[in-house]
Amino acid sequence: MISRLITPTRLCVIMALAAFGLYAVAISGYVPIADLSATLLHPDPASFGQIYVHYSLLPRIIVAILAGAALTFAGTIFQQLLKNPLAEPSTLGILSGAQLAITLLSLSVVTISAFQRDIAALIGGLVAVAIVSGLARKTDFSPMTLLLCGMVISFSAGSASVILALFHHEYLRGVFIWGSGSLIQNDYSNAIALAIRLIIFVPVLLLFQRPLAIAGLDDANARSLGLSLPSMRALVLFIATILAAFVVARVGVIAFVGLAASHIARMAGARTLNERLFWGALIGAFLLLVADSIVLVSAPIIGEVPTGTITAIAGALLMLALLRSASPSIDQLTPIAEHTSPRPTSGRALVFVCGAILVFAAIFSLTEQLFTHGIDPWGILSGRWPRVLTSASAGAMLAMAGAITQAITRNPMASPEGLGVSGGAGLGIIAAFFFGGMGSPLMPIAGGIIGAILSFSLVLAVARRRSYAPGPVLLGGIAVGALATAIISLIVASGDPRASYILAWTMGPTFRATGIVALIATALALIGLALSPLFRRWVEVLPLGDHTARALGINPGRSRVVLLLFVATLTGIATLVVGPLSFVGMMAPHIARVAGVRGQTRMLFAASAIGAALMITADWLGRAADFPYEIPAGVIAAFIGGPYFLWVIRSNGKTTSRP
Amino acid sequence: MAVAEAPLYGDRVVVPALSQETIDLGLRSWPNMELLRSLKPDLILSQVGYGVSQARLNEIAPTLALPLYSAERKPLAAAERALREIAAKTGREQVATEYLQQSDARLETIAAEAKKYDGRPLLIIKFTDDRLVDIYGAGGLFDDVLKRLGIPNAWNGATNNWGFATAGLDAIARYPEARIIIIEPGPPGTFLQSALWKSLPAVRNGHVAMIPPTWVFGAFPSAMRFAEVIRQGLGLA
Repeated sequence: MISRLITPTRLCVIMALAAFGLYAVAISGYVPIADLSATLLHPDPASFGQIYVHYSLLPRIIVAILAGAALTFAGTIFQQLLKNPLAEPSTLGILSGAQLAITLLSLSVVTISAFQRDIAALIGGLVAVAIVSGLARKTDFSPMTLLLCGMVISFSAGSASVILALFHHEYLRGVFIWGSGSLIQNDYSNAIALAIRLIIFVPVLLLFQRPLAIAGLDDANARSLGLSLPSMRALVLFIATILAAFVVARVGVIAFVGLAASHIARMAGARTLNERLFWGALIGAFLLLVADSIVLVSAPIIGEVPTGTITAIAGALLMLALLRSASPSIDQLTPIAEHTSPRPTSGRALVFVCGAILVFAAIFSLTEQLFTHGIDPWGILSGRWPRVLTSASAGAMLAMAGAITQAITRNPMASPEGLGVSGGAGLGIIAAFFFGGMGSPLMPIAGGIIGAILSFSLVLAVARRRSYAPGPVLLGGIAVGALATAIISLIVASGDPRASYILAWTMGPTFRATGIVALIATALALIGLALSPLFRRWVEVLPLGDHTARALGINPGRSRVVLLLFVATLTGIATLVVGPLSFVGMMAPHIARVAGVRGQTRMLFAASAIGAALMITADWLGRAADFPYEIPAGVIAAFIGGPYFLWVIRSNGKTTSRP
Repeated sequence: MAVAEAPLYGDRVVVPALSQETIDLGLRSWPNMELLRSLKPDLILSQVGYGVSQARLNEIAPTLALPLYSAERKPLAAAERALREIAAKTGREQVATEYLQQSDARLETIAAEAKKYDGRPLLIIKFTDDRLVDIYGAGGLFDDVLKRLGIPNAWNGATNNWGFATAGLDAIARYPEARIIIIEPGPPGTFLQSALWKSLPAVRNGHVAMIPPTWVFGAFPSAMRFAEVIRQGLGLA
């Protein structure tokens, strides 16, 4: 057994030795070892080396320890509370919520004080958790629902942060450096603030350790012991969120440390909740310390890389590894009751109505303000038709992909954006920019395609062992998405003027559409639509369960792979033309269903028309809302999609509560 | 007639000042193409490898895509060539030659004044927050101007495509002999009073100066503005 060789104690000692060894190397570059005690106690104000070690490196070490411990402590509590092995401050949306709140605040005040930053992070984090847990309550905090909600909140908050970055890049650079999780310190203020918070919040949370340990068993058990589960859950969730948000306020977004450390603690043999809390916090502290010491020592060679970026990249890879062996509970996607239309409507007529709406949206967008510019309308039209056509075909492809994803996962919240294709395409586009330059418009497209293929293969490889069950596929997609986010935030913080260009590309610039791209996208959308009826049987049978599928002569694993490949191709192409964050794939099928469309083929056609109309509208809004500044259509769609998502959950709640 | 991100230009580029009638075209990385088309420009100026590609701008009007930050890494020389190219395109060679002669003469004057400067190498920094700074070195416009003025640039570390490096304060401390030039806006809060900042060798010796906002990604006028603010900042005037 590995657990005999690796005990939590040994692990901590090894990590501590590694980290402190690296820190010692860094410190010895500033002060001779003989002066170390003087440096620690009474640094000579005339010696930069001593002052730097005293006021910058030492607090940095303390902050790394405290932040790592606090994030893992909070993460372990979330995991126990929500019975979800993948819960942690970042997957619940706390980190991105706090980041968005701080970004907004720094746009409205000239200089932002540490106290204001704390309050903003607190509000942002709590709002995110309130939304995520409010949504997940319907399904009794099912792991899948929770993570999907967290993902949507992170994406929405992230896209709002990105649009602010686009428009205020010169002014917000400091915020983005903070946000990417740099642990560089100038004094002891952060170290002291974090210490005080840990001293207050850890004992408070430990008060709940007994009820938490019971809650971890199951709800029926807890209820028989006379605990009011919902109120206890809410309270503990509230306190742990405050702890996590306070850490973000001081050190920025350090994702996945909580997740990684608590899993390492478990693998190393920490079994009971107490053991996991204690060893998890220690391992988290040393894990962040190791990551930070590597960053510190390598900074003179490869430049300043924020520690948060390193942890996010390592954490996303770890999450993929964990998915291969995680408990089977995350295979289960809890189906949410569908809002059913009370009156049966003719499906065929509805499909025509959707088509008519699409035509109307297209004509409106093409002709709007056509004669007010005082120039040849044909000049305007020649610039407009490619973007309208591109938006429409991307919207249709996403909607098709979404309809299939939702059908096979039986979850109306599933969105094809969660397959990892979009994140991979984004990474590929970025790689193309940095290694190939921006000269040819083909470079980013090629990069995007390669990135999408690679990341989707990665997700499939992870999900293979579970015969491509929807849960692991979507979670793998989330991990790849997190990887993309981390790298994008690194570039935004670097100050390279090309950052805004990359942001624009990853956010769906329909205004870049050229005639040829528009025609290709349209052709592909039509081919997809023509092929989709071939998959009808699979899409209808797979949701009935693997046993039923096999009884009907369908190999569930193989048919799921084919469907996922189809979905991924559609999503990948759409991502390349409109960017990764649209929610159109989630919204369009849902609108079609609420309108009363039934039957897979009609569903696909109606959803495609609605998706196309949505994207055309988003493109037009992006053009008109802040003229002459253009907002990427993908961002507009995400802004519409976020609230729509909340509304879906709310109305689902109403139907389930109805007898 | 029109420029992208006019408000930011006023804040950070400053010179040459825009007229009141200048139209804001939207973002630098993708100006509003419909607005651009409706203005029926005679000539569009863009930078190679940044923003909208030349081919697409050419559909609207003749476009001059000028390389400023290229593999050659000499933005000042590139800026001079760019100016001459614009002049040739607009038939104002005479004006351009006069402007360049005046600028050259002005740079010569400042270079002569700089002879009495103590020769302390400059570390030109801009604070991104209170922890990291951008340091301008080889391949950047400021470095080229310093060379023309005969003032040494302290930073000899690697720089990116745009001629700057991002580093922590420890990087500044590696140049104890340097004079620190801070481009405004400075760091937030009371950082300049902190023990850490005050312990920097250059700060202890009082070798620090602040200069007003200056655009590092600019062309000739930005270079001239930098020469003037450095002249003021070093007390050469």
